Amino acid sequence: MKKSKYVDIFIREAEEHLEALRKGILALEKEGLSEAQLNELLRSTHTLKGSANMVDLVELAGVAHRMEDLLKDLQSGELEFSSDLVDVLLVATDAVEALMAQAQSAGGISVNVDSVVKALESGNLAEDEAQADISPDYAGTERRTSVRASVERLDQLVNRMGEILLSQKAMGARQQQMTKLLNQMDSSMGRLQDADDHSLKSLRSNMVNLINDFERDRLQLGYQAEDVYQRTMELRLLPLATATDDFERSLRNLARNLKKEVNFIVQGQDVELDRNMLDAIKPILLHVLNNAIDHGIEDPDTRVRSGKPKAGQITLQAQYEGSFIQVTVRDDGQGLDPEKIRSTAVKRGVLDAEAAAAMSDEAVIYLVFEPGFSTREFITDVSGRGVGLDVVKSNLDQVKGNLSLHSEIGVGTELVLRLPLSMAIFTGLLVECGGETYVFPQHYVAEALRVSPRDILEEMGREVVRLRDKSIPLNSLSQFLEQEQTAQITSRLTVLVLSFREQTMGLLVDQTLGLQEVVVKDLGCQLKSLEYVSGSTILGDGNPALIVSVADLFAAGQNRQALQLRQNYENEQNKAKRGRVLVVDDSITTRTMEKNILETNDYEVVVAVSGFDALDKLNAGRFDLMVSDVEMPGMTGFELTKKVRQREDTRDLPVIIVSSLASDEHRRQGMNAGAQAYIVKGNFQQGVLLDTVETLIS
Amino acid sequence: MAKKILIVDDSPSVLAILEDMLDELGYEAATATNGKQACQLLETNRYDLIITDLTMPIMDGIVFVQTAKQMPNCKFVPIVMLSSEEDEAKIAEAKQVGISTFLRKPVKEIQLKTILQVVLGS
Repeated sequence: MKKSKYVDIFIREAEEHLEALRKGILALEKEGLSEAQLNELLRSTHTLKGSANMVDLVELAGVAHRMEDLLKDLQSGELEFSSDLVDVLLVATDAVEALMAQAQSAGGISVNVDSVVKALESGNLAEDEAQADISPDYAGTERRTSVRASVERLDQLVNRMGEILLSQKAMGARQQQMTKLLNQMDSSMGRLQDADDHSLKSLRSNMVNLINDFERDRLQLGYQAEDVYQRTMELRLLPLATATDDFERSLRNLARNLKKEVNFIVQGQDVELDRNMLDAIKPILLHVLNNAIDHGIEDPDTRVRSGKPKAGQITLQAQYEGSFIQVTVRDDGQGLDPEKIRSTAVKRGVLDAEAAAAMSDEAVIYLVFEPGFSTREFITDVSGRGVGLDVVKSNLDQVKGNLSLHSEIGVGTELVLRLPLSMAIFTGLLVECGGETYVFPQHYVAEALRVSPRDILEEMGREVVRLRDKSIPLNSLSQFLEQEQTAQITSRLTVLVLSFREQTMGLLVDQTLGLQEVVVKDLGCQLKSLEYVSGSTILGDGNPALIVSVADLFAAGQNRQALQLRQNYENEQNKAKRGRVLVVDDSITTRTMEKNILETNDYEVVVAVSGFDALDKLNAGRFDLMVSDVEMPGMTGFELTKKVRQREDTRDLPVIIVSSLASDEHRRQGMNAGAQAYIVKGNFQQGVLLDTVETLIS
Repeated sequence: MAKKILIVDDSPSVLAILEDMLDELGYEAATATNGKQACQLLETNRYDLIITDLTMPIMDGIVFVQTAKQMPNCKFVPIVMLSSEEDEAKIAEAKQVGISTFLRKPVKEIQLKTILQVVLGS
């Protein structure tokens, strides 16, 4: 179960209830007690309690429960309505809000609601719950005349700021550790606390306060660091025009050499990009623009003959789109011919004929970006260095951008680049694979699926999953990373649907761990050559994690061998069970529950509905253990156990008695009958049953 | 064919959790956030089982069960009530109007699995 997802849904829901509660409570005070109003409040607290319990926020459910009780007492007239009660209820809503914040921070904030619970139980506030309000007041900085700073110094500044952000995130993890320590201390010193030791109690509350203060300071630092980081990053922004101005000259030269006429139009020159980003996309843009003139735009005669204006038009357009910048290059040339690209690619050895034929027309046009496809080398910078075309892939990967290419024969070609606003910070999806954490830039992940191995199909020798009538080829992250297939092939698999250059791929991972803002760090020299990895980051808990190169995965994805996940799953299913257990109970619910618990943990289970039935089943087959109820019609579990002990072939069969009879006398009877263990039926104690079964079988 | 189950609860988080649980258990789930909405679904759809909350706005669990039991589509469909209600009188009232069983929130997947197997007889 992915908890974070449910917590998020719960928080949204709880916010509504919280608002309704606060309004309602205040209305009670203003307008007096009304049955309708009370019922509304009761329903809100009741739903809050139920939902909180379901998402395992027990403390929050507890507060809601106490609120519900208090409101019920008001309704029945057991409690007299007073403004004190209003205070208590309002403070309780604050506590709920604090617990919601705690749930969202996944334990990052420590909240103590003991006093609130006490207040709700007693109906009045013991101490003042006033809280100091600390709100920062930033005075606006005055604009100064500009100064010059070298790019190098700006880069250093940005890097340092990145480090500060990382430290701040690490502090969050430290704080969680402190809270955990505190909890450990609480549980191991519980007895001392009960002894009403005042100095110990005040020591503890000082510590809680300290942790809370630390949290507040840390958050403050975080906001400020983030703000400074943002401002520093802005210092590095350059308008697109700085790149496109260079283009115009070289494009005109190229067009003239090829005797073509081209109008080059740039829109959105003012769009600002990070300097590094600009450096990274410049070769891509130049490559695409050169291609457009070289292969896209026809010569003037051809154009006129096909009814087009004499001069071709190439448009480069940039615009902001949410947290992305979109750069589009469009030409009105002859378009890309998939057939020609196929044959050229084969001729130049980019791929073999069979693979080329298997590719769809939409996919085949992307081959123009493959190294080796084009023989022309463009001079892209002043140093005169020719840049190989694989820069398209590696640079795109470096900026965590995405690219799509569309073309229509005779009409033109359009390339769309989507770039994140910042190269250094992005939202990453954390996944676990083989015990390690990896980060995927979130914008490459279309969705995460949970699939059963039974849903995996085979198409043309590849394993695929179907999603909305489309087949998505399936790969496994652990296979790419050449990990041992440690991941257990369970009945539910987590598959990320990745999308890159308009292609999709399903990627099997062990589990997803949620989203996190990550700061990109360069890989050290030793790691530079790592395959499928584009960088690293330090996670909130201080541990490093590698950032997966989605571009690499796609580049290699086509050639992977089939996964055989389904086969492996079926093999797993047929593996020997851990043992054969006979479950005896006259209640269908109990025996089905016990059967489910045991089967989920790989035991083979046979059920019997009575003592006689059990003896029949024991005659018919061999068992490693028996679990039996006591009170059954005809023959009790004790009698059954005695009979089992008397039989030659079952003399040593371990027997567990599971019963709602909790007295020592019954336990003694069970042991006398020859049972090895006696478990009292609780509400739901699968752990105890499993532990006992495991101990007795091994 | 996967068995179809209708879940009725005013809490989106409860619906989300139950939907995922049922999905994992191989059932097909539909959802409604109150009794009235559920009745509308019941007019045009057939379900193998209904899981309903007790306390809900617009139409609560008891009125819903009473209404559903009179609908031709739903007369013999087993209804499981899942609620955090602790008031025994209320629970007894719910049992009177014809629910198959009462489950207390929070419910674990294995509990739900068991109850569904027992109630659906599979």
